[in-house]
Amino acid sequence: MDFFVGIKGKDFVMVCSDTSAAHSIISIKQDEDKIVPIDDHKVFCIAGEAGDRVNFSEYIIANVKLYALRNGTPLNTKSVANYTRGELATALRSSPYHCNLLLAGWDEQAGASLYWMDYLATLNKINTGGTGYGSYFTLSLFDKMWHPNLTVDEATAMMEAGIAEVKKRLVVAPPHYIIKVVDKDGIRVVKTV
Amino acid sequence: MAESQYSFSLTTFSPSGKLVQIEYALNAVAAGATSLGISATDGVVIATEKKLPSALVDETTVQKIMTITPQIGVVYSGMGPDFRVLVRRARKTAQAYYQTYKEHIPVAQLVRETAAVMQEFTQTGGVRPFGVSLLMAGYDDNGPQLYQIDPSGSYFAWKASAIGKNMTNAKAFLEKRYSDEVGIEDAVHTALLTLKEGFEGQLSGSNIEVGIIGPDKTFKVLSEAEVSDYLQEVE
Repeated sequence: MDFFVGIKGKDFVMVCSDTSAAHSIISIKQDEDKIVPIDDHKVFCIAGEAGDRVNFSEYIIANVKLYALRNGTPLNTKSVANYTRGELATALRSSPYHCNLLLAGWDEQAGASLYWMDYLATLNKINTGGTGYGSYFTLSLFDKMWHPNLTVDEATAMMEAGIAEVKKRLVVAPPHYIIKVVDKDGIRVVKTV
Repeated sequence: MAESQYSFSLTTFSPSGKLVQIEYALNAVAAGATSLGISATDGVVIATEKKLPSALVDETTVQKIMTITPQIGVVYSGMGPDFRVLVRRARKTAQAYYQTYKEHIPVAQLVRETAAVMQEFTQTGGVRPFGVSLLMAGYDDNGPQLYQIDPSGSYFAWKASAIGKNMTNAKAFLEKRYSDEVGIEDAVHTALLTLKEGFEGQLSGSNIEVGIIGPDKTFKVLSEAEVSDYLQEVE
């Protein structure tokens, strides 16, 4: 089961994902980076059905790139979020994409933003959130620790606390995780656990 | 039905490399009432003569300047019915964009899409080009902008321009008067003076139409009273 959480800080968004790729009971690899860049300042964390995840993310990323090429300017995070939701909604009543996703981005005008979407085309702008079993253990923890002026160090501490909780209490907790940050300087890896 | 000899597109090339129907469409534009636009530092103004065929026409029902989105307005010279078709399409394009991205369409993109429609009608069988040139005025994150779109589908961004009957004189007048530092209020005055140049008779709130988009980024067609106020300032 994929573990994804996101935390919006003062002027950055931090996302954490587990790095295991598995098929049924077999672990294929333990160092799979599932946080996918959309462009220089946005990432997707997509969980769910194996084929749908990759197909859907590649489709959205290609269309985002096309927009930027056509119009000489990139889409902002809000537009990508709404566009993605629209695609999920359109497919829902014919051949749905079974994916839950987090979209983390930084724009000049809006600053840092974090969006949560599910396979039913729900869209919410959030400060903290996650998908999967792991989020059950981390959401209330983040509620307690979050405040609007979070720094990167504080957010990292929150993430590590969340990961520790998951490892302690989730029966099938993934062993390894990667933490990334999106801010005005782009996307970078903070640490791997 | 027509024999196959006559089912070629009206816009096939002439030996000199011209598309004659587009030339004729431009003639239709040049025969239309004068319209002009001026882009200022903090807004855009577009204006047109509202010359009606008879004094018996109820001029309050005639609207030559239309709002496409709250941030974009458009005026034309040429054939009114063709204009209405393009306005419908542009409004739909803008709303589809909003539905996808939940953000308002940037001016340049709407201009491109509208121009693409006009170009389609120069390359499709059984149709004729639109007999209008459009002046599209808008204010988005790239600031105030004014675009002209021709029947061929080509578009240009202008600081100030005029189309229709009196365009050469109007453009000459604008060239002399235009400055990069002019604000929206001055631009409106200049627009009215330019219209006055080629106008037969007395300008009034009921025989011209003026549309403004200012720093509030909201396009507004001025009421007859508001136009009269501006005219008084200019006299």
